[in-house]
Amino acid sequence: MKIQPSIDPKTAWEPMTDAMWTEDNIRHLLRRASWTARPVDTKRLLGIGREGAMEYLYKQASFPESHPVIEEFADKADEELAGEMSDAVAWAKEQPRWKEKASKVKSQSFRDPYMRPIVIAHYNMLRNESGRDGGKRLPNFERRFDQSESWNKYAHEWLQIASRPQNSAFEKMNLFLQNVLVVNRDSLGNAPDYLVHIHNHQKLLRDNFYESYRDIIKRMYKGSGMGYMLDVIGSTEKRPNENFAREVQELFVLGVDRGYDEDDIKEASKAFTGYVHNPDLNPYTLTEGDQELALNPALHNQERKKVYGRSGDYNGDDVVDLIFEKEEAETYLPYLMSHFFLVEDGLSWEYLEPLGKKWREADFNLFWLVETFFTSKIFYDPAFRGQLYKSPFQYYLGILQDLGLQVEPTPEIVRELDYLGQPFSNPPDVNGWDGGAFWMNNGTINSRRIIADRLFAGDFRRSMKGATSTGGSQYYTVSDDSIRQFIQAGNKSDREIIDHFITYLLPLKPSTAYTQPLFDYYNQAEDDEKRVEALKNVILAILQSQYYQIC
Amino acid sequence: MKKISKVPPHLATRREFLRGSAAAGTGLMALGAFAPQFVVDTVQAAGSAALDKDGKILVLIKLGGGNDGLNTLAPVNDDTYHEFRPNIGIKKSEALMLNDDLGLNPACSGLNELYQNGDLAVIQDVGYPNSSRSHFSGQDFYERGGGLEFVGSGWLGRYLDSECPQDQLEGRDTPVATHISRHLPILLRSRTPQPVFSMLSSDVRALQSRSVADDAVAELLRKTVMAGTEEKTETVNYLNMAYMSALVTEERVRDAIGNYKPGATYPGTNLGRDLSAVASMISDEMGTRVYTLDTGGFDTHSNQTQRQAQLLGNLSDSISAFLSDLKSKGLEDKVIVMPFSEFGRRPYENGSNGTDHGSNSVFFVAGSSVNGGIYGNQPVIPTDRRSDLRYSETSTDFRQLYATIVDRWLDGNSTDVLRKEYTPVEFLS
Repeated sequence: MKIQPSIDPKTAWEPMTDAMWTEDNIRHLLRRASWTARPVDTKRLLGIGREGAMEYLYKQASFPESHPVIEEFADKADEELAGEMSDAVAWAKEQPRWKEKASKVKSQSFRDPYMRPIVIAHYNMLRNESGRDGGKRLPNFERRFDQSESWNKYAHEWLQIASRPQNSAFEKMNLFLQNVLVVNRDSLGNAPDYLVHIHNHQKLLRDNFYESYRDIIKRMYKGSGMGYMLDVIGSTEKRPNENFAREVQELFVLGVDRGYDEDDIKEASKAFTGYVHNPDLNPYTLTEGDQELALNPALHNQERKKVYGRSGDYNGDDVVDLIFEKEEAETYLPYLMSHFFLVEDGLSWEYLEPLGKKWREADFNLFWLVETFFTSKIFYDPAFRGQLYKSPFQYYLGILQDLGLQVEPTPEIVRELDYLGQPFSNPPDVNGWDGGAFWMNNGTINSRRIIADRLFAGDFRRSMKGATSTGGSQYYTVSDDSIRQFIQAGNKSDREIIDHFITYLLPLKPSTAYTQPLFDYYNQAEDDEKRVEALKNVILAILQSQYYQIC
Repeated sequence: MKKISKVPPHLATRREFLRGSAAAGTGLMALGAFAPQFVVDTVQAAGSAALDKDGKILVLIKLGGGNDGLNTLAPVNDDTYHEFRPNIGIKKSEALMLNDDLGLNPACSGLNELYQNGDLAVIQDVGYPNSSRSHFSGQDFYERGGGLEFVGSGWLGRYLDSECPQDQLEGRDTPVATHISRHLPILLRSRTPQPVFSMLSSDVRALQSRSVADDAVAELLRKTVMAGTEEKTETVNYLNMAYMSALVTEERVRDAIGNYKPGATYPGTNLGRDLSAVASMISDEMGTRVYTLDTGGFDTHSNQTQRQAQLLGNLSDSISAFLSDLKSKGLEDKVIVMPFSEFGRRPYENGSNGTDHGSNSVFFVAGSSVNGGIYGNQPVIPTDRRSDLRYSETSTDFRQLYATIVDRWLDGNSTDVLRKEYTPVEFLS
């Protein structure tokens, strides 16, 4: 049963009126665009209006330009490889293939764009020799460094960044884009430095948020993350690989079976051949605009290709242009947005087509789409309230913000989130997370309850040895004092106390059958201390209940 | 806040819970009217004893990504095969030879042993006409058991529909099907509510040691599950039912997995652990007839030799351990195992020492009740390097396998399930 909004498709994307800028609608916006609706943010947005709100949600976010975990990883490589670098350069000067690169090495550092491949090639040579004559073979280059530890730190760092209210909407949008343009850890597990390649992919999505979606696609396939993910790297004239050519149409721009056929995929795959690592760049030291892959004409298929019935000497960018000329390109990403941010089934095409036409006129600008989407009349249609399931990240980060807590200071929480069904940057395949009701089953419901329980029990302190930072641990769990202060402040009745949390935490008004047991339980507490315990249990029950899982 | 028992208070069985729910005026059938179909399929769980019959069990393993059939069962004497696969082709000297012409991938020693014991049926050149090379369309086709005429239901879901009528939805506390995967597979989606239990692979690892319920909080939660909101939404109705399932069935599954002592050593992989969990539930005599599992990574566009060896080795060793475990419990005659994948791969290797999406592939069915041997015809590799294996009159339609299993193993009627008669394959009598 598809949910039908009451608004007409012709007026659906008109800007919302001033009269619609109410606290209730702002809470809806915050719950969908961000993790949750804190009263302080609701008030702030009410004061600055809808245009100010878009600025507030998307233009004040910050992400470290020089990422501490990546820097640490590079430092570790420099330290570990210090004794090998001179030997590697000396070896490379004797090799016809490496001679020229060796002459360009400027510093004895893994960050030097020429040093990095030479060190890896030299090590691989040693590794091959080590296996001869029955000797013990050296481990893979990537196995010399424990990437999993760095990966958990990187994920933990992201949780901390995303949990800050000023970053929430931007990072949720990035999560959406990562779920469309998927580069997952499992697929890159065999690539050297997969952490860096995935970081660069995500950085590219952040850096280009205000650009055309078409340009993002063009830049993305020339990144090492997507290059490894969908085999752009290694696809040559003689052996074209169809992986990227298929998914760019099927999953990124047009949608499954929309406007292309198998021959288009085969022909398009020829255009994406010959993109190889840019020898002048090191993935550790990218700055905005750098392209990690460059076209090597010798490996590129120079024949004419026939895509969508048109022939030409196309390269990858040309094919991306052709794909965006298709009508289906106008509506697919807006459809995915409506699925991610508005309603589980996504909006029907009759609503998406008028938006798609305007999006093309805006040259497929991504921020234009986001701004138009979240300030449109249809976004606030009452039919959509309470119609989305929270993802595991939204559940966890939303609880933290609702309770005023910080991400606990140990990467263990990253593993806990795996149990909720959303391991960091590791959706199951190129199709991304299914999301929706698929987040919720016996196992994940149990795991969500454990996460919430942990924030009240505070028993994570036993694992504080692995903490990445220290600080007032009272910010990591709900303290009895804060509950006591809430009960004692003002002159609230028991009913008002329970109603406060229900109104604040839930997107829909529950029935009396839901609220009455909570009230009865709290009301039976005999003294102040038991009231503190009872209120903690009531809040925890609300956070664990089915109504807190939706927004 | 103290930690307490694993079992929520006053909730001995799912049936009891549902009765309580119905008494509160928000009974299961009432909720079903609001729930989207897949939601109902997933969690509506009153149950039936109709499926028990003689308790034969089917275990399906989805090999996500499209397993390459030609390097799973290699035609080692085929010159075109070696010409097209100079780097990744399997040489006769490496293969585990089943006859003069066909050899298993060297990583499949467990499957080879089953074959030599007569417990493995190998069905060659399986596919369907005009097969899709899209992961998603291909998965849909295999899981629905056909094309768009079956949208909204899977082949085993329809089997459950025909064997588990709604008037028998009373008296069952255990699921008729259990899946260990991210979400309800399409193949289990049914037209009518069926008791299906969901688990994640990570749950299997976690179930033995984790508990959450606080007496008071669990009690409050149970009461809220029976409540409604002022505004009825599909999401809330779905969650009401998912919570019921989470709060009740899981207790029995937890006990079964937690107390199990396997009679064989499984690989320390997700698939190995998942199959060990299935063995524990079978030993617990839950009466579940269908188990489905998920394992991925078969989309070997690059470095196929190493990657597929790892994947097939895991699959082969896990199935071998599973059947050996069941044998130690005297349950080997009750279970058959069938892996399946959404498509095979192209005969010509690509420039990354991998292969691209293709069509027909090889299937296995394992178990001591299986008539071991090689079935079907060897696929013909076309001489044009850009071509693919072609489904032809000599190929085996995958629905022939489904029909054989429904009719000869699950005691159902395949014509009801597949809406057409398919010639059975003799791997089951």
